[in-house]
Amino acid sequence: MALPLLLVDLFILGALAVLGYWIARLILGRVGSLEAASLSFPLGGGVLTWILFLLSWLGLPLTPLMLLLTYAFTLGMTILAIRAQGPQAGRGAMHRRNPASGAIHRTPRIALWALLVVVLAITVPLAIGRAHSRWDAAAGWIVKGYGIALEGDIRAAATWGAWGLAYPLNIPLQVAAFRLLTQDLIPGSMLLFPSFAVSIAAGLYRFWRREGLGGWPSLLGVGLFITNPLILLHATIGYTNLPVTGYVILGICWLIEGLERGDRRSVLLGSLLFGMASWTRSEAVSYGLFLLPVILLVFRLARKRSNSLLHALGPFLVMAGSWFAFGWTSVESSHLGKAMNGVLPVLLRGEYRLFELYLIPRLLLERALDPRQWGLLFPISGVLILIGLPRVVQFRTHPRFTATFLSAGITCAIPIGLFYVRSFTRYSDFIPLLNRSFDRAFLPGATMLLILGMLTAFAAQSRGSLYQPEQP
Amino acid sequence: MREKIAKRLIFPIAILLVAQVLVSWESYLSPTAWNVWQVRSKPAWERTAILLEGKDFAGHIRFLLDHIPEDSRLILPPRSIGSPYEHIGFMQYFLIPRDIHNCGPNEVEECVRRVSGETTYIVGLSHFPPPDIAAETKRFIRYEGDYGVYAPK
Repeated sequence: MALPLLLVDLFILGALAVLGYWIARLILGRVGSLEAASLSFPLGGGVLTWILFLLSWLGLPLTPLMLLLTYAFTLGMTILAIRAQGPQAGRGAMHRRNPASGAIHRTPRIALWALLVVVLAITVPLAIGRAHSRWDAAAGWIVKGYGIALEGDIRAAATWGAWGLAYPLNIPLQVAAFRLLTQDLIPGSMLLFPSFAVSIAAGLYRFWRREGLGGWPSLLGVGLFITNPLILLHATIGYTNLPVTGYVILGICWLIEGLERGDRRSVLLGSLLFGMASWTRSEAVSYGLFLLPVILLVFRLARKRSNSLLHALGPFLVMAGSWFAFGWTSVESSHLGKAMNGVLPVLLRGEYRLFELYLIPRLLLERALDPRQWGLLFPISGVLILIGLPRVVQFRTHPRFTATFLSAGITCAIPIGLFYVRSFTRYSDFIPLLNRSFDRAFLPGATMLLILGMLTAFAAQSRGSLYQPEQP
Repeated sequence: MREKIAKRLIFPIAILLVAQVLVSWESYLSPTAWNVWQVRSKPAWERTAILLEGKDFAGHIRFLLDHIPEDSRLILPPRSIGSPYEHIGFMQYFLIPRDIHNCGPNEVEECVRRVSGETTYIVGLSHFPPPDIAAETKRFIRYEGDYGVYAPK
């Protein structure tokens, strides 16, 4: 009984990836193996659940048949749109190895695939085996999906699971899909989380290689990320922090790359990924709100040419805006919403809660040096950043370094700011809240520090022979 | 200069990476794999219950699943001492599609008296509900000790 159900669950996951692959092709043109590995699953899941959300908002019942029809329709329309674009569908962003580079340069890529397969072989059984054995997973994300599947309506999320409708429904709707089709008995919904981990890893490798790092340093960076204790934990529990990290990190990478090369399709993809981050956790909208304008401004000033605001902001605003339009009342009445509303009056009274503000980086510092929490990510990233820091000021010639540096700073500052805001309403249990939740809120920031360190320390001054631009 | 320094770091970073793998294995992967192996034959909900709250909790949940029909309502204690039984969302995970509610924190006796319907059950714990009041309309089906369920008479 278990094996057939597991095969169906894997088929569902594969179907999401197939949809995502075609969406990536629609946006980018041609898609290579690295793009497919990093984008397929996040895009497929995010787009399908967003469409399901819109349809349910309009009143259509969520049933297995409706799910399958929506999937088939979305996939069909995507493929038709690709055909309508014609053979010259964009410059494409496919990363291709230089054919002259020989076998020795293929080894890191082969080692990457082997590493990702090993990681999946370890994390998938652990994720499935431990089922939903973390509090927020069982009491929130998963049971919300079950409730949506039971009632066939996204509004069921208000009464099933914790937090009401304060959080967007990307992950609960993916869980609902497994529940509708297989009752989630395995539970197949836990396949989502190792998939996000591997998607991020492939995306990191691709970004570093595209930005001029060698194969072996890029592989080392991926290894540092994917073997990190906290990443491995979140690859095996049903929390949304790793999916948000994936969308934010991949969004930053594609946005920087797109602006650097003047590729509007990549910019659009970056914006879409930021939108999907907002579609996964409400507070993740702050990443798009701060990062998009800053990165755009860096390249605008450096390149002295305008960027398409429609490509850069449109998908993000549409996806984030749709959720907030639907769930604003619930978001506003959530813990964070109340905290945001309550901050200004307290600040105006002269209470700055500086002790709590001090506690946040102090906790981070304690944990950052504990290998059982963050592995060796922070010490290694710190040393690499120090080595590569002078490159950050090469603003005019290499704005990518400046943009990555600022992105790292902002992704680190956002969770600190959010928890500082929470301190205004969580007087008595702020320290337990910090201990319980800050590490996972800092996943995007920590990942960006690793990206920054690897990029500034190892990227060649010019990208050299291993990068081959896509042929028109 | 920067490139020379960076290249020299590759080997040390690779060594540190191996160290990180060992730390991850020792601190998370190995103990988790062992715990998961112990419950490998259980259904997903039971693995969740055992790994999160222990075998006693899982046993009580199984008892509740066996004794409360799916179209019934279950009443939980108010949020007070931090027990998993107090959290509606958490209990919904195990007992879906049953309709689950809390008693209010300052009206436990009134709440228990109120829920006299033929399809309403009350979770039986050591501190909830007040047994004399519950016994007015419900019969106690024991699981272990004070744990069980109050079912309609």
